[in-house]
Amino acid sequence: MPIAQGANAESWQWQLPAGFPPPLVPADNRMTPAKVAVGERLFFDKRLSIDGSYSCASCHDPGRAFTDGLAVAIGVTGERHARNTPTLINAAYNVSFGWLADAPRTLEDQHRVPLHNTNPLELGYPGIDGLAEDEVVESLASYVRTLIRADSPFDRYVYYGDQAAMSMLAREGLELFLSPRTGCSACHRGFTLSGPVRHQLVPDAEPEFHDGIRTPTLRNVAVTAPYMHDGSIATLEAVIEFYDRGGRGQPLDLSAEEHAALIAFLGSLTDAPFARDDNR
Amino acid sequence: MYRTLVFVLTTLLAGNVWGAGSGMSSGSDGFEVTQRTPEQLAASSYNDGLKHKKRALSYEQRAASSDKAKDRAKYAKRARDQFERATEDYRKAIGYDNRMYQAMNELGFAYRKLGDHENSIRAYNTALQIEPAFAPAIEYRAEAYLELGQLNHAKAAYMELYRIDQAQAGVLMQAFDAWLATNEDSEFSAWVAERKQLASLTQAVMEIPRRDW
Ligand code: HEC
Ligand code: HEC
Repeated sequence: MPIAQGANAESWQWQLPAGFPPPLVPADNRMTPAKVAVGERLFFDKRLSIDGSYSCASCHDPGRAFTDGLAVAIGVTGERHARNTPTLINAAYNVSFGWLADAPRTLEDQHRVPLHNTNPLELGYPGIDGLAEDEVVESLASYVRTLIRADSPFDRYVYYGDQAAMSMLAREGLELFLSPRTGCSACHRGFTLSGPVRHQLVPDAEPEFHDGIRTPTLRNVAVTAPYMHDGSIATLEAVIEFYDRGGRGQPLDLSAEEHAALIAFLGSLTDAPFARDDNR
Repeated sequence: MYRTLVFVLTTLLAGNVWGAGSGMSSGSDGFEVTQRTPEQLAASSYNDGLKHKKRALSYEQRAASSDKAKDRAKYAKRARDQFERATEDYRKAIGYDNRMYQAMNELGFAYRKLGDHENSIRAYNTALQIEPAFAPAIEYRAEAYLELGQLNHAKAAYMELYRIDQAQAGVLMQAFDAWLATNEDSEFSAWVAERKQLASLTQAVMEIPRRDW
């Protein structure tokens, strides 16, 4: 029996966190160490932009869990994007990409957007000599598929039994978050605490949109302010107030302690490399 | 020479080697034994062990539900005999295939039932050296730790199962409950209560890959 030759013959070994299934990978863009390495270099490569000043990392800064700290993204020429830059951590599992419903359904397609978007101009991709665009897009997708993490205090407590990892207040917040009273986990669910995901165990999950917006992951949310698709809420405190007032359903009537507990819980979802002293 | 031949023949017999498609055929220079592969022989001995295990467990149940001390002793003895025969079967299976981690796992279980915790844990360790993610062995070994009162090892096993196989973690949790029904340890009891609550609470935010062993 013939065995696949060429680049695809190199096997890829996933390094997945506890309880995380392997993400779905399109049959025509198999994972290989070489592609991932090229993708990682391209992600930071300013030759992707019209004037050599911008890269993916200009908006998706690894130091901020691959976000930019801005309300809405700013393109290479200073134009404002309509929406906030989302984290790329665990994006590999998304059913659709970006905030809106008429969005790309694969990472490969998503990556053509910043290359060619003119409203606003994001990168203004001029092409790179000797490198086909398909290669660029596929390598970037392979790299982004490796951005899978779960080593937050929440993970250390829930999956590794480290009782010191999460404070009592954060544990109260976890219980509250998962309770029918707040109903948060009806939308922010699964191991990514987001809307539906897709992976090798559930290949055909359908995306789901509330008020036309996909439910984002809450992992690393403490380091990805400002919030919401339009960056309209500046802090986690203000997000909890928004929900408390009935922002997405009934008013919750949270006590001051419950409010603090939810914030402590959200703070416990920060992966180790992004943790800062003020949100531990 | 003669003794080895008898041994081979009896083991072949024990392995039901006379089934369809194999056996002996007569040729010009006598009988020819059509050999089965070592893997097939190992599987056959392993299956014999499972049969003895099944019988042993049903004798154990009868012992437990007997009113008279005499019956209890009688059935307990029969259960032991069956477990002893099972250990022989598993050892035979491992003799044919020294990487058969399933047989090592069951050998560990039979030893534990016979009260031989040292050999039991050794068998589980060997199984897990060959297949480190074999959740049934992690679960069985944890029950042996529990019987030995090595609660930290048992807790660590629970966390490992929780990460890789929540069904097996649930089985171990039942063993913890049974242990707590007859043993006292307030710290362990609090730990068990907390993990149980977490396990039911966090269903909404996890997805455990399942692997059928
Ligand atoms: C100008 C800033 C900017 C640049 C440059 C940029 N992005 Fe984005 N990225 C965004 C914004 C904003 C969104 C959300 C888009 C939407 O909602 O339509 C996004 C969405 C994504 C998503 C979807 C994430 C999810 O969770 O749905 C991926 C993946 C992604 N970008 C990867 C990349 C890659 C790879 C590059 C480089 C080729 C890149 N981005 C360049 C701003 C940027
Ligand atoms: C009905 C579904 C639903 C429920 C219930 C819900 N959310 Fe959300 N959540 C969303 C959607 C959709 C967004 C994105 C909205 C937007 O961008 O405008 C969001 C955004 C967020 C954000 C901002 C994330 C970011 O990166 O911008 C946080 C934090 C958050 N939710 C926390 C909570 C908490 C805490 C609860 C429970 C009190 C909760 N959510 C309940 C659907 C829901």
